[in-house]
Amino acid sequence: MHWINWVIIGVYLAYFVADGVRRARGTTEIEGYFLANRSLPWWAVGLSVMATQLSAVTMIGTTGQGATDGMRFLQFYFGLPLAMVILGVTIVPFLRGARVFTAYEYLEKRFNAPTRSLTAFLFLCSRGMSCGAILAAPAVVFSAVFGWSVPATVTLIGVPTIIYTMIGGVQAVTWADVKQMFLIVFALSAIVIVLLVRIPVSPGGALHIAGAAGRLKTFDFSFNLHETYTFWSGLIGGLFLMLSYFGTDQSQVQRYLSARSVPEARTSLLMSAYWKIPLQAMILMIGILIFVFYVFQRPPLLYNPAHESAVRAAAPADLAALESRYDAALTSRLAAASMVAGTKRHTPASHEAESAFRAAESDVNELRTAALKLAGDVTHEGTRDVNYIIPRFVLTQLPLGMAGIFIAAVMAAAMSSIAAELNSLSTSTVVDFYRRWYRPEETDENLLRVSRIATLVWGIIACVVATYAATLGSLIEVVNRFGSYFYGSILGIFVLAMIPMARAWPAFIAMIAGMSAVAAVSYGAPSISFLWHNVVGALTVVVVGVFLSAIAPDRNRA
Amino acid sequence: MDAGRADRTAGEGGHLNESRSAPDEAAEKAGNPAPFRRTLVLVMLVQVVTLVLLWLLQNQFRPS
Repeated sequence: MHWINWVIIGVYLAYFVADGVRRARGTTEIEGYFLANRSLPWWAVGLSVMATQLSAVTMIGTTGQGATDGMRFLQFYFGLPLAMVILGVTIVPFLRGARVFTAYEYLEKRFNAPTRSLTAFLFLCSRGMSCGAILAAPAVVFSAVFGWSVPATVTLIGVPTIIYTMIGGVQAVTWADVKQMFLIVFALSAIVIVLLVRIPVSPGGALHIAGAAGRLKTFDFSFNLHETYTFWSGLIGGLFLMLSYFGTDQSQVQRYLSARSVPEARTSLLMSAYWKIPLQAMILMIGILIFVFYVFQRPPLLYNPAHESAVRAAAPADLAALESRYDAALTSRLAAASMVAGTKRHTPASHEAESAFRAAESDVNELRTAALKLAGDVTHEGTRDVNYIIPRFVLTQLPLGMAGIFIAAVMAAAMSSIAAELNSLSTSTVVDFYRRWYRPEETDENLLRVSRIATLVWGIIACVVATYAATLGSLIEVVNRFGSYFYGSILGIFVLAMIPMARAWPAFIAMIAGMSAVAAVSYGAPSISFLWHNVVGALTVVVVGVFLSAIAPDRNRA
Repeated sequence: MDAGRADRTAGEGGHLNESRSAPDEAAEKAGNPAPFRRTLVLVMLVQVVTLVLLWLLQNQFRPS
């Protein structure tokens, strides 16, 4: 990579650490460290909410998904706007009115200490692990693309994030998120412009090619529980997932608890409702445009450069044979694509050109599958190379400086998510455990010191998990599956908290029942999409909680 | 402030943050639903327009 790109990345990292340290000045109480004295404007909180949710996985994985699978993934977010509206009128005023530091603190007021501690414990386990997974995703890709070791990449992203989060607290995290969000949108917009300039057909022609390959199909109205992304799984399952994530996950709750007032907290959430789907559509569209770009430029047979080198060294003859057939298939595809772009849509000539294009595309995909299998046989690693499509494109096709800006944007996406999670992990550790069970009378000065130590410890845990997650690919899947067991149940417990008749111990038992129901569905019917797990968990908790509260009222209810 | 005491009293209607201003308190209590309803309608409108545009894009460029 050119030295100018390295300078851009270096300046970016140095600026965010310096800014975080600067924002630490004057923070002497934990209210300021954890909640910025509840003084942040809605637009800063709104951008922080969006930056926290948009991780490096989104920047790298979603664009790759757009290139290989098209717009279908957008359905995952269809429940989000409705979730934000529901949260704006329910949980936001609830938590703000309760004057809490963490969402779980409210559960003790409403139910009992065990319920609070269990939910906080589940949050710490899942977020501690997922923080490592979020850090591992770009580290693995960068290490393969640049040839660095994974621990070095983890350190490059993790250490600056730990420093500014530990020193600056939520102020540093939020204002860094705001700037990082602008950087991310700028980098994505610049890539769209570069792609539109470099694709040798008109935007209409490019969309015609993408449409012919089925990449512009967004909606799938089939009610198929085994299909991950359908309109209904996105709208219903996605609604429950988003309600749980934005309403009960401390990494998001802490964002809007730091807003100036209830109306500003609500408005900050509605910002995501406005912009999430258009932003995600833009990210997927970048992937689709990269697909079209590679119809006119020769794409690599294997996008992962480390696998490409390994196969070239271990099986050069097999690779050469595949590459020769691949080149022939690409030539046929290019000829068919030129015909598709040059014909008027919905005419017999267009139908014929599209059929030829799809046949050639199918040949290209078959050869890619064969090459990926060969890579798997040689490396004994996972062969999915979707995550390498955009880094490979950025490094080989973008003009000087743009690659540095994009890599800085991917780091920004990773750092904004990790910083928010470290900050919330520290908050929950200190407020829900250290102060609740160990030192209830601790002074603010000492709590601030413990909070910074907790941030550092969680940061180190995230780096260690990231290093191992990178070598044990399945660990990320384990983390996601583990999280899906109780996301719905945690949402259910908060819904139960809003039902006046719900009692403390029935709620606790209902939460266990919710997690057990999800585990039963997950193992009994593993093909059911994980989005439905949230619905199962939440509904089980509410139904069991209400039923048990009705038949065995808790006399000790506060 | 005694953080431990505040933690406990918060459950009895106490306030963790004793330095909050009166206008902030009033705004929180009021919740001011009218602008929220307006924003709500706008959010729904933006979503419907986005989904219709995506639907048109899908149908305009559907594979033949």
